[in-house]
This record gives sequence, C-alpha cells and structure tokens, in this order.
Amino acid sequence: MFQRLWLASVAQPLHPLLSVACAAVALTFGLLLRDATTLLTFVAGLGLIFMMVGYGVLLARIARIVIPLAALIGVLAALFGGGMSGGLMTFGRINLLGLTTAFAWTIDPTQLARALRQAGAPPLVALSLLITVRSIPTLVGEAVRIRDAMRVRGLSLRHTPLRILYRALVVPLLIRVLTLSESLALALETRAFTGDPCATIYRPVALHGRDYATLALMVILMSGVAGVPWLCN
Amino acid sequence: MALQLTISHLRFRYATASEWVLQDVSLDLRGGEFVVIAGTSGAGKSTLLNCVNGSVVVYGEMHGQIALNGVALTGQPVAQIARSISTVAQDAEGQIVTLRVEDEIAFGCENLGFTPEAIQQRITRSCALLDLNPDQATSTLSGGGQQRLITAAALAMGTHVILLDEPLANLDAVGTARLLDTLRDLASHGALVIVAEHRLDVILPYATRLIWIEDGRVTLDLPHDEALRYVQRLIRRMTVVSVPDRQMPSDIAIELDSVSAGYAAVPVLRDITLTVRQGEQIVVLGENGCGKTTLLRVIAGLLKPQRGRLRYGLDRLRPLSRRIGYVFQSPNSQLFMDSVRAEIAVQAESAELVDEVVSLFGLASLSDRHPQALSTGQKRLVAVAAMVAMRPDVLLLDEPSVGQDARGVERMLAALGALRQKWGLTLIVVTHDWRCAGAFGERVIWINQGVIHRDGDASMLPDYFLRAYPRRDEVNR
Amino acid sequence: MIARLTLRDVVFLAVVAACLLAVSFLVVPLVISLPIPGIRSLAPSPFYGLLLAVALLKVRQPGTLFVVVSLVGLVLLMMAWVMFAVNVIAGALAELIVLAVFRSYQRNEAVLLAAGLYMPLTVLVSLGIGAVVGGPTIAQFLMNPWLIVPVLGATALLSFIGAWAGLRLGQELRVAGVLRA
Repeated sequence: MFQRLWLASVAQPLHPLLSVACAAVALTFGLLLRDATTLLTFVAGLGLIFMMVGYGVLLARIARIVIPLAALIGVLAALFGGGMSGGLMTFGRINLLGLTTAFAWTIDPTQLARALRQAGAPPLVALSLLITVRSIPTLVGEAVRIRDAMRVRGLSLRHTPLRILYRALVVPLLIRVLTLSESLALALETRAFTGDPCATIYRPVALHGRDYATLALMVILMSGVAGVPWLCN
Repeated sequence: MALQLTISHLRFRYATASEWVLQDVSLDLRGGEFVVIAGTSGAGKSTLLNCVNGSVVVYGEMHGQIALNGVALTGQPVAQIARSISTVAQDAEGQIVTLRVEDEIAFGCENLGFTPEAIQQRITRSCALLDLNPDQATSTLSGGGQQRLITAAALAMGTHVILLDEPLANLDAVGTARLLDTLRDLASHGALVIVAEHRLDVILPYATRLIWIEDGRVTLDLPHDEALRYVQRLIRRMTVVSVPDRQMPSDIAIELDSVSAGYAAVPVLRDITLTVRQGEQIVVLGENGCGKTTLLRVIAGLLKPQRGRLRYGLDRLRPLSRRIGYVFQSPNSQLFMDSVRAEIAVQAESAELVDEVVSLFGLASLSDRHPQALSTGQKRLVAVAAMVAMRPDVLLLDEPSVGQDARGVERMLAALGALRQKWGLTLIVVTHDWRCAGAFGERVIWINQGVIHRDGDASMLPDYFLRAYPRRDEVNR
Repeated sequence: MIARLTLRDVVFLAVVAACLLAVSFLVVPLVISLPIPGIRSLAPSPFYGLLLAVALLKVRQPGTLFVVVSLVGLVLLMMAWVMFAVNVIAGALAELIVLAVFRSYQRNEAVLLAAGLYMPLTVLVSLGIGAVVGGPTIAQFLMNPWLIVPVLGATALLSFIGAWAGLRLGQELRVAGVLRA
C-alpha cells in the first residue's frame, strides 16, 4: 500500500537498523546543541550526507514541505519572545525533525523484520511487525465491505439511529479482526513456526559500503560540529 | 514409497455443540493417491482435515487414532505435525503472513531449516508452477493469486502429505487446471494429496479416489472411474425443485442495456443486455473472474456501469436498498446485532413480516441466539432472512449453498418460494454448486469472460457442469 | 512479560494494531480539514478506546496494551518516528498507572481505565515532546491551559466513551463464545 509510494523515492535504501540508529542519534545530538549556528551547520551537514548517499530526491521532497513550515514556526517563535536566536533555533530544530524523519521513510517493513531477526530479536517480534503491516489492507478492505453492506441494508447517517449504525460499523470489523488473527495464527502453526530462533533467514539484509560510509560521515560530522566550538574556546 | 495415513474410528465434536460432527470415520490412505473428500454437510470435510493436521483438537473432543507411517499424530502439536503434513486452509487472504510473494513461500521452508539455496530453488519452482511473481507485494494479489500463493507456500515445504480445503475458490479456469495438474503430478510422484471440495465436477477427473462423508460417517469410497460415473449421474438427474406460479406477473423488474462495468480501464463485464422479469428465478453460472459478482454489484447499485443503461422497473418510490436485497458471499460483514431476531428486525418492513420470516426460515429456535455464535450455514440463513424482511422485489444471492447442508438449502428454497408466491420475489443466484443450481435454476445465464454466453432454462445445467469431463478425461490417462 | 503471551495472543494483538492503523488512515483524512486543534488525536480516540478495551478483555495481561501500541508505533516509525516515541511512552505510562492502581487486569475497571487513559496520555506526551524539541518559546506556547484543557478533556471523554463501549461489546462477544479469552 503505502510502502511503494515511499520506497519509490530511494533506489537503494540504507540498512534499516542503521537508519533507525542514525535518526535517533542525529536527533538526540541535534537537540543537545545549544547554539543556533552550530545547529544549522549540523542540519546542513546532514543534508549533505543525504545527498552523498543517494537520498537527494527524497531530501528535495521533504525540504519542500519542511523548510517553509519551519520558517513559519520559527518566525512565530521569534515574535513570541524568542528573538532572533530563538527563532533560528526553532527553525533549525523543525528542520532536524524533518530530516531525521527522512531516514525513517526509507525503511521497508520486510527489510526491518529481517534485520531484527539477524540482530537476534525473537522471530515472533519481527513476525508481528509483518503481520500488523500486512493486515492493514485486509482490514481496510473489510471496512469497504462494511460500507457496501450498510448501503445494501439501507443504513445511513440520516435515517438510522446511532446505536444501530455504530454496531453495523464496529461489530463486523471486530469479527474480522478475530477471524483474521485465528486464521493467521493457524497458518503460522501449519507452516511449522515455533518461534525457534535457529530457523533460516532466507534473505538476510547485508551491510553495504554505503552503510559504512554513512556511518563514517555521521561520526565525522558530529565530532566536527561538537569539536570546533570546543577547539575555539 | 510406503507412505500410509491411517485414520481409525475418528470421532469429533466441537465444545460449543452437542452433536458429533464426525461419528466414526476410518480410512486407509496411501502415498500416490489424490483423494477428494466430499459431502453435503458444511462442517465435516474441514473438520476431518483439521483433525489430521491437529489444528482443531483444542476446540473440542476427539476420539480415535490418526497415524502416519505407524507414528501416532494425535497428541502432537500442530507445528510438529506440520513438518510432515502441510495444509492449505480456506480463506486464502487470512493465511498470508508476509509482504512479498517470495517471503511467503520461503516462510515454511525457513521454519523447516532449509538452506537459503534450497529455499531459492523451491521458490523458483513454485512460482513457475503456479504462475506467481516472486517480487510481487502480497497486498496486490487478486483472490486467485492469493489462493495460488498459499498453495505454493505449502507445496514448497516438500511434505509428503498435503491437505487442501476448498482450494478452487477464486481460481479461474486456467488457474484451476494448473493447480489440479500440479496436485496430480505430486500424487503420481508418491505424495498423498487430500482435498476437501464441493466442486466435484471440476476436480474428479484429476482425482484417484472419492470419499463421501454424510452425517459424520463415510458413506462412499469410490475409485476414479466409478466416482466420475456417480457424479455424472447425479448431475444428469438434476431437476428444478420449485414450480412457478402460473399467475406470475411479467412486469420488468430490471433491465440492462449494453452495460459494461468493471474496476479499471478494461471492464470485467462487456456489453450485457438482459431483462429480468418479476418472479423469475435465475441462476448465473461462470468461471471465477467472468463477471458474475460484478453483475450482482451493478444490479445492487454498488457499482456504476461504465457504459450502457440500467433501468429498474418496479415501484420507483422505494429507495433502491429496499427494492434490491443482496446477500454477500461472506455473511459476516452483514451481521451485527446481538440476537437473530434483532438482526432480522433491523430494517424490516413490519413486525409481522419479521415473525413470518423467522418462521419461514425455521429460525424460531435460534431467535435469541447471538448471530456470531452460529455456524456458517445458519449465519447465511439469518443474513438472507434479514435481507428478505426488508421486503425486496429482487433478491441477489452470492453462493448461498456454501457451508450449508442439504436441509439448509431446502429450507432456503422453500422459504424463498413461499415469498415468491406472496409478493413475486425475484431471485438471482450466483453459484458453483450444481445442487444449488438445480434447486434455483428455472432460468440459467452462463457468463463467459464478461459476456453472456448462453441464456436458457434448466436444460442447460448438465451442459455447464459436464462441460469439462470429455476434455480433461482424455488427458487423465 | 512477553513470555506469558502465547502465539495466538501476539498474532491477535498484531491484528488489533493493524485495525487501529486502518481506522486512523480511514478516519483522520476525513476530519483533517476541520479547524479543531488536536483533531488528529480526537478523531481516532473512541476507536482506540474501543479496540484497546476489547484487546484487554481477550488478553488480560500486563503488557497487552504496551505491545499493541508499540506495534502501531513501529509501523508509524516508518512514517514519522515521533509517533513511535509517543506511543511507547504513553503506552508504558498507561500500563504503569493502571497496574499501580489495580495490580492486574482481572477487573473490568482496570480494562476501562487502561483503554480510556491511553489516548489522553498521548496528547500529553506529544505536548511534552513538542516542548522539548521546539525549545523554550514553543514550550511556553504549548503549555497554555486554554489549549491543553479542552483538547485533553475532549480526547479523554471520547476515549473513555469508546472504552466503555468496547467493554460492553467485548463482554457480549465473550458470552456469545466468539471472544475466546
């Protein structure tokens, strides 16, 4: 469903766990910066790393939305008592939020699940992620069927009491949740799933050169941003 | 290969019911057989399969023994049994666990500990056999694609015993032939293939043995040739049960004029011209994907025709939802109240009609039960009753006999017949089941690839249901 | 904690999470144009209350709520990681509060409290995270009681109504034999 929309924007995404780690680290680091200039440098540096790693198109798409929004909020913050530096900090932080979100957008649930298993997470954890994602279209489909069923039964917002309308919406959906989960649980068992961590992983996610490069660049950027003011003092 | 599955004096009943679904089933099945389990009861076939793979044991009480090559299966956990017996259950969509076709096929293999190279080979082979694209996202598969995927996932595990429950649902003619060929090949290489299916007309030419379960017991156990003859006889002897009232008014209820409809640029239904008169009982036949359900949706007003005109003849003052009733293939989406009686009364035209419908459909004893606690067959009866209580002029039924035993179908037939006498209820039924077609088919419309292939009376039915026999039978030996 | 949840339980909770996501995806775009602050939390609140109550009725374990909302968060992680943090923190808080008061989920009141408390907690946690990330000026702006009280109150109200409805529906289905605990 929505996976294709986002993945389409990046030809070769980074390792999913690395993306999560980078997002978390970049955000924490960025939030700890006290100075507007340092923050903006950091954000710009992140943007550069993005472009070098091949996320340029994605960056452009995000920038189109985030930069104006950040500018707006930054101006508001400046006007409401933060002054120039307050405004710039806010601008920088919103941009940081936007950028770190970009890391997250490139994660494919299947890859994430595989990576989690490789990292030693119990197979059931990875599987439950897959099951949740895979169930969403099914339940949306059920909602469509429910809408059709209500039309066919002549139930409408205008003419039907809320008590009945609510049941017509909610009960079939709940029932589908129950039947789907029973069916899936059975399917897991009949395919010999036992939660055994020794089961094969068919397509392990590999760490490529670009993953190491990104990691290195991040480290350089962060130490540079943190180190320069310290050196200057 | 001395593969042997022995079932001895199997008895089973669900915890929630008092009758024994399986009363005394004993079977001796060997590798190399392609066995079809049939029967008029909704529950027995699936329950038998689920006893073999161990999945139903927690839901009730089981007696008797099931052994594979001398080793008892009863008492083993499902995941353990699954190492030797793979299962393809009903509700294909509800069995897909992952997001990509290749991952789905790989899943069972991963659990069995195969190497990635071996898994790769199995994926390639399964995809070729069942016409699947390994990179495809599972959410974009059609109903038939989903069915083929879960079958591929089970087959890839390479077990010697394979159980399939209604595997032909949603498969079109090509998909059906492919699947049945694959199963027959597997059997000829020594596997034991057991299929629970009601579409015997399609599957028997490929099978080696027919086992019929009635009232919890094995009443028939026939090898290929005898089975074929038996079913052909049944089909030829179909007679339409309900008799039309001579005084039926012949006003036009629905008129379709060169209607094309579908969900994408290429329409599923093409250039359909059809007139339905009040009081008619019509059965619509055709392969999966030919447009039968699309036709029902267009008539019900759920889908606008892309081309052509659709006219309704009767009582324009009533809203469309009251003129046309439509019972879906799966009744669950349409049931939502907390008692059968309340369900039927929701949009009923009057309290008297509710009473009448309850007694016509024989639901008086169930009227205080929660609809969700009923069996599939009972739920369907309730869904039909609830729709009928709205006093529709035309009633559309999508596969009404699935999960129903013979009594259920008869009861539905009698009730709908009575209503037809009363207010000229028109019936359009889509079905794959020859019993159901025979029961309702005064007028038979055969749709093929989106157009009306033939439009006639009940004499067409044997032509439709026996059409596969000469061709596939030649191929069989 | 997770070890006490069976395979069936975990699969069920994963599907409940999917249902929450599906409902949000369907409902939020419908109401997003309405100029009500916090509409993104308000609109799905009753459904969250309802589904969480049903989930807790079926799997009456500590950790049930946390697993469901974490799975929702994990999926949202792939969209906007903030939601993951909000979900996980609010989920943990809800569980801790309820367990502190009731010790277990055996009583229906505990189920009601947990299911109803979750959404309002997400509003609070979101505000908190917004304040931390946005900086001191934004924090001042967000901590405005005229903003917080109505949004929080409305969310809590809808959420508890949903939870109460879910409790009733869940019990009805349990009596009917459909909701096997």
